[in-house]
Amino acid sequence: MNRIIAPLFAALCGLFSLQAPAATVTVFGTDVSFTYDDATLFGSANVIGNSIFFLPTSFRAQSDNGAGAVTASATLNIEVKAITPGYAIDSFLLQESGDYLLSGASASVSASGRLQVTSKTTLNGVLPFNDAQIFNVGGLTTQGAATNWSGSTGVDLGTIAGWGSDTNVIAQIQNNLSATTLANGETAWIQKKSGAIGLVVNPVPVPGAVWLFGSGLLALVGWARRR
Amino acid sequence: MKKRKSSLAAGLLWLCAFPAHAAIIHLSGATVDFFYDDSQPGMAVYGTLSAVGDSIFATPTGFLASATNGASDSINPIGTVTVVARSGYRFDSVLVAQQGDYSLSDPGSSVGVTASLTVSDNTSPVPLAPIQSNLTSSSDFTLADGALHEWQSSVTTDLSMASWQGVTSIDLTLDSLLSATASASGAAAIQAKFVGGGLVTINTTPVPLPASLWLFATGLALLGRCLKTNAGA
Repeated sequence: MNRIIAPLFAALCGLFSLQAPAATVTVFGTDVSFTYDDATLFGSANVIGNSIFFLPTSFRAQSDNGAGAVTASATLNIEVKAITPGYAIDSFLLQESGDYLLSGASASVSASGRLQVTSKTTLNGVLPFNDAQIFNVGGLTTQGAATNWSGSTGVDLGTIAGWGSDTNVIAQIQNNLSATTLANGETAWIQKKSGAIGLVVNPVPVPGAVWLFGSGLLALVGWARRR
Repeated sequence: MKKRKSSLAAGLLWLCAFPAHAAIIHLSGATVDFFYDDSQPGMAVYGTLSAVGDSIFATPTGFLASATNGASDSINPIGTVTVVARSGYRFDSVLVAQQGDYSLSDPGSSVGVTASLTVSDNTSPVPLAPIQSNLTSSSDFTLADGALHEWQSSVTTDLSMASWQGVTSIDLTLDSLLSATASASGAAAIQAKFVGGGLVTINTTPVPLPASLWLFATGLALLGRCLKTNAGA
């Protein structure tokens, strides 16, 4: 019996020792759903209204004692679908923030991010509509004390000719952090503590032809009644 | 016997630990169908592909070359997608585009993109020679200010030549290399965030003449006959 149990036990141990596969999670806002992989540096998401936000705890780059450049980067795809009939997504706003510390004349940090929105419904020529915006955080030069940083950017579908709004897109967010020290005794670290995408969702405008048809119909009914 | 059973049980459990087996994925376009094997070594980098109209695209999250402190890094996924034109359609051209970002901490660091698209004929008994074209980039990758910058590259392959007009199934192979080299205390990174291929197809079904044309022609014929009759009288 032991000869059966031992290999079974070994195999079970092997099973559980494997890295957990990335989990795809769907969460629901007021008018949209968000589907994403929760096994990244961004961590798990929270939803308020039509916004999704992350509070990462280990998104950090740190360099000490002339270790040179240390970077931390992560990219996350979030599939966004409009779930309220008659509503579509008009725009996306990405906001990220965290803090940093510099100690040493040659210590430096940087933070940047990118928001990309790709349509899963509408073509721009032969490829789907796709727009990306970048932010680079400037002025990260305060020495000796933990200091806050923040950055933001947005994609407004309403300003893109032929797109306007969408009901199903992939919103991709990326964040890059970098810390550098060049001499012994120096310290530089930077971390991201929050990242949020806010969506503007509005009813899809009714085409003018429908109003024309409706008013014509009403006039016809009125005329028939009078007769 | 016991030994064999126990080994079998262990083997089965081990098998269950692995993800699902590779599969041929089918995506429907408007006038074409896309097929790809998701077990291709390079395909994992692209992640899940989606189709819109006659285009197929990916928004990869791990298509990245990143180096720090005198090191170099590169990534070179090669992926093939088969495109089959539906009955009544043939290929006219294909556009492949990549888009992403890069950052360089200093002029001593560098990044680069090299990519080529190969279009192969799957239809003819003696296949036509594949057409290989290099993607051209809109960026020279020289902004070394530590900030994030956009890059794009694309190529269009013309398939309207007479020799390709009978081809109804093609393989699109994208061979894309991203590379990053950092200076002694610097950092360099480049990433592809959007990779897409769009087909232009032509409807080869004879276009039926609109009913109005028949009506016009009949009217013209009647008018002609009336005029002839009047002239005779």
